[in-house]
Amino acid sequence: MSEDRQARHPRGNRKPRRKVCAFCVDKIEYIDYKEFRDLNSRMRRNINERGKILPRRMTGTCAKHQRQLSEAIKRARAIALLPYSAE
Amino acid sequence: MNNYEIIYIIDANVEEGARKELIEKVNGIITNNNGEVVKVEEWGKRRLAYAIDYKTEGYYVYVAFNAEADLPKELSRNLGNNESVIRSQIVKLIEKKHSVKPRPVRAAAPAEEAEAEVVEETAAEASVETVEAAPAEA
Repeated sequence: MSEDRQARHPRGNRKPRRKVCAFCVDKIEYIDYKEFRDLNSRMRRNINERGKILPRRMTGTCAKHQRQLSEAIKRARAIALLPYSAE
Repeated sequence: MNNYEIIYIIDANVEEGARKELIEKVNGIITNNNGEVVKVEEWGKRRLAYAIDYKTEGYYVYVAFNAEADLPKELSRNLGNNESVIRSQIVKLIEKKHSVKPRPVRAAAPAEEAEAEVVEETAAEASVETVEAAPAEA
Protein backbone atom coordinates (compact mmCIF):
# COMPACT_ATOMS: atom_id res chain seq x y z
CA MET A 1 0.00 0.00 0.00
CA SER A 2 2.61 2.49 1.10
CA GLU A 3 4.73 1.55 -1.91
CA ASP A 4 1.88 2.48 -4.27
CA ARG A 5 1.67 5.89 -2.67
CA GLN A 6 5.39 6.35 -3.13
CA ALA A 7 5.08 5.52 -6.81
CA ARG A 8 2.43 8.17 -7.37
CA HIS A 9 4.56 10.85 -5.75
CA PRO A 10 8.03 10.32 -7.15
CA ARG A 11 9.37 13.52 -5.63
CA GLY A 12 8.49 12.52 -2.10
CA ASN A 13 5.16 12.92 -0.38
CA ARG A 14 5.74 16.07 1.61
CA LYS A 15 2.36 17.35 2.77
CA PRO A 16 1.56 21.06 2.33
CA ARG A 17 1.86 22.87 5.63
CA ARG A 18 -1.48 23.15 7.29
CA LYS A 19 -2.22 26.53 8.86
CA VAL A 20 -3.25 26.32 12.49
CA CYS A 21 -6.06 28.30 14.05
CA ALA A 22 -4.65 31.39 15.78
CA PHE A 23 -7.44 31.32 18.35
CA CYS A 24 -6.77 27.69 19.26
CA VAL A 25 -3.06 28.43 19.67
CA ASP A 26 -3.89 31.20 22.15
CA LYS A 27 -6.54 28.99 23.85
CA ILE A 28 -9.22 31.61 23.42
CA GLU A 29 -12.61 30.46 24.66
CA TYR A 30 -14.67 33.47 23.81
CA ILE A 31 -14.05 35.88 20.95
CA ASP A 32 -14.98 39.29 22.25
CA TYR A 33 -16.44 41.79 19.79
CA LYS A 34 -15.17 44.64 21.99
CA GLU A 35 -11.61 43.89 20.91
CA PHE A 36 -12.38 45.49 17.56
CA ARG A 37 -12.35 48.90 19.17
CA ASP A 38 -8.56 49.00 18.92
CA LEU A 39 -7.67 50.00 15.36
CA ASN A 40 -4.45 47.99 15.38
CA SER A 41 -5.91 44.97 17.15
CA ARG A 42 -4.76 41.65 15.74
CA MET A 43 -8.43 40.78 15.39
CA ARG A 44 -8.38 43.02 12.34
CA ARG A 45 -6.40 40.35 10.50
CA ASN A 46 -9.66 38.53 9.99
CA ILE A 47 -11.22 41.25 7.89
CA ASN A 48 -9.94 42.79 4.69
CA GLU A 49 -9.61 46.50 3.97
CA ARG A 50 -13.13 46.59 2.61
CA GLY A 51 -14.40 45.32 5.94
CA LYS A 52 -15.31 41.87 4.65
CA ILE A 53 -14.89 38.77 6.79
CA LEU A 54 -11.99 36.69 5.48
CA PRO A 55 -12.74 33.04 4.74
CA ARG A 56 -11.26 30.21 6.78
CA ARG A 57 -9.16 29.04 3.85
CA MET A 58 -7.24 32.30 4.01
CA THR A 59 -6.81 32.70 7.75
CA GLY A 60 -6.64 29.06 8.83
CA THR A 61 -9.20 29.62 11.59
CA CYS A 62 -10.97 26.46 12.75
CA ALA A 63 -14.70 26.05 12.22
CA LYS A 64 -15.57 26.54 15.87
CA HIS A 65 -13.70 29.82 16.13
CA GLN A 66 -14.83 31.06 12.73
CA ARG A 67 -18.44 30.79 13.88
CA GLN A 68 -17.64 32.80 16.99
CA LEU A 69 -15.60 35.26 14.98
CA SER A 70 -18.33 35.99 12.46
CA GLU A 71 -20.77 36.59 15.33
CA ALA A 72 -18.28 38.96 16.98
CA ILE A 73 -17.67 40.90 13.76
CA LYS A 74 -21.40 41.30 13.20
CA ARG A 75 -21.87 42.60 16.74
CA ALA A 76 -18.99 45.04 16.28
CA ARG A 77 -20.59 46.26 13.06
CA ALA A 78 -23.93 46.88 14.73
CA ILE A 79 -22.34 49.20 17.27
CA ALA A 80 -20.23 51.03 14.63
CA LEU A 81 -16.86 49.65 15.76
CA LEU A 82 -16.44 48.11 12.31
CA PRO A 83 -17.87 49.23 8.98
CA TYR A 84 -20.43 47.16 7.10
CA SER A 85 -18.56 48.18 3.99
CA ALA A 86 -15.68 50.52 3.39
CA GLU A 87 -13.96 51.92 0.34
CA MET B 1 -30.25 36.61 37.23
CA ASN B 2 -28.27 36.77 34.02
CA ASN B 3 -25.09 38.55 33.06
CA TYR B 4 -25.42 41.20 30.41
CA GLU B 5 -23.35 43.90 28.89
CA ILE B 6 -24.50 46.99 27.08
CA ILE B 7 -22.72 49.46 24.86
CA TYR B 8 -24.51 52.67 24.05
CA ILE B 9 -23.41 55.63 22.00
CA ILE B 10 -24.31 59.13 23.16
CA ASP B 11 -24.40 61.99 20.70
CA ALA B 12 -21.00 63.72 20.83
CA ASN B 13 -22.68 67.13 20.88
CA VAL B 14 -24.36 66.48 24.24
CA GLU B 15 -22.85 68.62 27.02
CA GLU B 16 -20.73 66.93 29.64
CA GLY B 17 -23.21 67.61 32.44
CA ALA B 18 -26.14 66.20 30.52
CA ARG B 19 -24.04 63.21 29.52
CA LYS B 20 -23.13 62.37 33.11
CA GLU B 21 -26.78 62.70 34.05
CA LEU B 22 -27.71 60.27 31.30
CA ILE B 23 -25.13 57.71 32.38
CA GLU B 24 -26.43 58.00 35.96
CA LYS B 25 -29.97 57.55 34.69
CA VAL B 26 -29.07 54.35 32.85
CA ASN B 27 -27.33 52.94 35.92
CA GLY B 28 -30.37 53.98 37.94
CA ILE B 29 -32.71 52.02 35.67
CA ILE B 30 -30.60 48.91 36.23
CA THR B 31 -30.38 49.22 40.02
CA ASN B 32 -34.05 50.18 40.41
CA ASN B 33 -35.12 46.96 38.68
CA ASN B 34 -33.27 44.56 40.98
CA GLY B 35 -30.20 44.72 38.79
CA GLU B 36 -26.62 45.19 39.81
CA VAL B 37 -24.08 47.29 37.93
CA VAL B 38 -20.79 45.39 37.78
CA LYS B 39 -18.62 47.74 35.76
CA VAL B 40 -18.95 51.04 33.92
CA GLU B 41 -16.36 51.95 31.32
CA GLU B 42 -16.42 55.22 29.44
CA TRP B 43 -14.57 54.74 26.20
CA GLY B 44 -14.93 58.41 25.42
CA LYS B 45 -15.41 60.13 22.09
CA ARG B 46 -14.74 57.86 19.14
CA ARG B 47 -15.11 58.03 15.41
CA LEU B 48 -17.97 55.86 14.21
CA ALA B 49 -17.09 53.28 11.57
CA TYR B 50 -19.98 54.64 9.52
CA ALA B 51 -22.25 57.63 9.87
CA ILE B 52 -25.39 57.18 11.96
CA ASP B 53 -27.98 59.91 11.34
CA TYR B 54 -25.22 61.92 9.59
CA LYS B 55 -23.13 61.85 12.79
CA THR B 56 -19.54 60.71 12.50
CA GLU B 57 -18.59 60.81 16.18
CA GLY B 58 -20.09 59.41 19.33
CA TYR B 59 -19.38 58.97 23.03
CA TYR B 60 -19.19 55.26 23.87
CA VAL B 61 -20.24 53.90 27.26
CA TYR B 62 -19.88 50.26 28.26
CA VAL B 63 -21.75 48.80 31.25
CA ALA B 64 -21.61 45.23 32.55
CA PHE B 65 -24.53 44.28 34.78
CA ASN B 66 -26.53 41.43 36.30
CA ALA B 67 -30.29 41.55 35.97
CA GLU B 68 -33.49 39.61 35.54
CA ALA B 69 -34.46 38.58 32.04
CA ASP B 70 -37.08 41.32 31.57
CA LEU B 71 -34.71 44.24 32.17
CA PRO B 72 -32.84 44.32 28.82
CA LYS B 73 -36.09 44.82 26.95
CA GLU B 74 -37.10 47.68 29.23
CA LEU B 75 -33.66 49.24 29.08
CA SER B 76 -33.38 49.16 25.30
CA ARG B 77 -36.88 50.63 25.01
CA ASN B 78 -35.82 53.44 27.32
CA LEU B 79 -32.64 54.16 25.39
CA GLY B 80 -34.52 54.01 22.11
CA ASN B 81 -36.82 56.79 23.30
CA ASN B 82 -33.90 58.94 24.36
CA GLU B 83 -32.89 61.26 21.54
CA SER B 84 -29.30 61.77 22.67
CA VAL B 85 -28.55 58.03 22.50
CA ILE B 86 -27.79 57.24 18.89
CA ARG B 87 -27.33 53.49 19.27
CA SER B 88 -27.31 50.79 21.92
CA GLN B 89 -26.64 47.08 22.01
CA ILE B 90 -27.24 44.63 24.85
CA VAL B 91 -25.50 41.27 24.77
CA LYS B 92 -26.18 38.39 27.13
CA LEU B 93 -22.98 36.82 28.38
CA ILE B 94 -23.12 33.05 28.36
CA GLU B 95 -20.97 31.16 30.79
CA LYS B 96 -18.74 28.59 29.16
CA LYS B 97 -19.89 25.02 29.57
CA HIS B 98 -16.65 23.57 28.32
CA SER B 99 -13.18 24.18 29.57
CA VAL B 100 -10.16 24.39 27.32
CA LYS B 101 -8.17 22.29 29.78
CA PRO B 102 -7.60 18.73 28.58
CA ARG B 103 -9.85 16.18 30.22
CA PRO B 104 -7.77 14.14 32.67
CA VAL B 105 -9.67 10.89 32.04
CA ARG B 106 -8.64 10.67 28.41
CA ALA B 107 -5.11 11.95 28.94
CA ALA B 108 -3.59 8.45 28.75
CA ALA B 109 -5.19 7.42 25.45
CA PRO B 110 -3.66 10.11 23.16
CA ALA B 111 -0.16 9.25 24.39
CA GLU B 112 -0.57 5.67 23.16
CA GLU B 113 -1.88 6.92 19.82
CA ALA B 114 1.13 9.16 19.43
CA GLU B 115 3.43 6.22 19.98
CA ALA B 116 1.57 4.17 17.39
CA GLU B 117 2.02 6.98 14.88
CA VAL B 118 5.74 7.04 15.43
CA VAL B 119 5.92 3.32 14.74
CA GLU B 120 3.97 3.73 11.50
CA GLU B 121 6.21 6.53 10.37
CA THR B 122 9.36 4.52 10.82
CA ALA B 123 7.71 1.69 8.91
CA ALA B 124 6.91 4.08 6.07
CA GLU B 125 10.47 5.34 6.01
CA ALA B 126 11.75 1.80 5.85
CA SER B 127 9.57 1.13 2.81
CA VAL B 128 10.96 4.25 1.16
CA GLU B 129 14.45 2.89 1.59
CA THR B 130 13.55 -0.44 0.06
CA VAL B 131 11.90 1.27 -2.92
CA GLU B 132 14.95 3.40 -3.52
CA ALA B 133 17.29 0.49 -3.02
CA ALA B 134 15.48 -1.87 -5.36
CA PRO B 135 16.22 -0.08 -8.68
CA ALA B 136 19.87 0.25 -7.73
CA GLU B 137 20.16 -3.48 -7.29
CA ALA B 138 18.42 -4.15 -10.57
